[in-house]
Amino acid sequence: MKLPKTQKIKLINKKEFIKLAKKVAKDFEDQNKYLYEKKLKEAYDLFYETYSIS
Amino acid sequence: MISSTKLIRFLKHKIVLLDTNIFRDILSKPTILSEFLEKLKSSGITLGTIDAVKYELLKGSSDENKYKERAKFIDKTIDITINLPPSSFELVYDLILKCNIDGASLNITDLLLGTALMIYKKNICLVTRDTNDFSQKIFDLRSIVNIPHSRGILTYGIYQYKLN
Repeated sequence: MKLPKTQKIKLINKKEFIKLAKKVAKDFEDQNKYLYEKKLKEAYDLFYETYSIS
Repeated sequence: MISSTKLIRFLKHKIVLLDTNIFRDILSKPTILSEFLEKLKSSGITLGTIDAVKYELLKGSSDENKYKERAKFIDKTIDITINLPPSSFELVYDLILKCNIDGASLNITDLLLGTALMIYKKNICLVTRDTNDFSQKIFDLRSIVNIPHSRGILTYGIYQYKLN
């Protein structure tokens, strides 16, 4: 099968690219923090449900 | 295996598919990896990916602006998105069958990247850090790229579908 026609190669404007990458990296950090906290809460809830005295 | 000095010549006029982990590494070490990308692009190598990789990167954006920033970052990194034909979803079954037990750890994105290599054969390569996922029974490890950074070395495999 033939590959789709290659578009013109976009060269990187390094300064702009690094700035954008740092912004996006921060968003991934927030996402990882959110997932970590969600996991912790789930673990805590499970622990609480299992060991709380009713 | 192709030596690092001959790698650029081998990849010239081919499409190099980027796995999700490459984008993640660019984000954590943009200065080092943007130099690598620049070298590839300025040598006439087209960087691409598939939609499944884009989905993995876009999901979880905290708001619409952040989603747009992620999309812009992907767009600035690659030159082309490879659209897989509908028949490729049938080929995924063939790939699963060929991989046998080695395929147990493959996720759907890996399977679709592998299928893209199967479809476009010699015109396309994959660069990935997950060197355990792509079985060398099916994919040739054509080269290894080592990129040193302040705390170690990033190692990537360049894979191509085995041509018989």
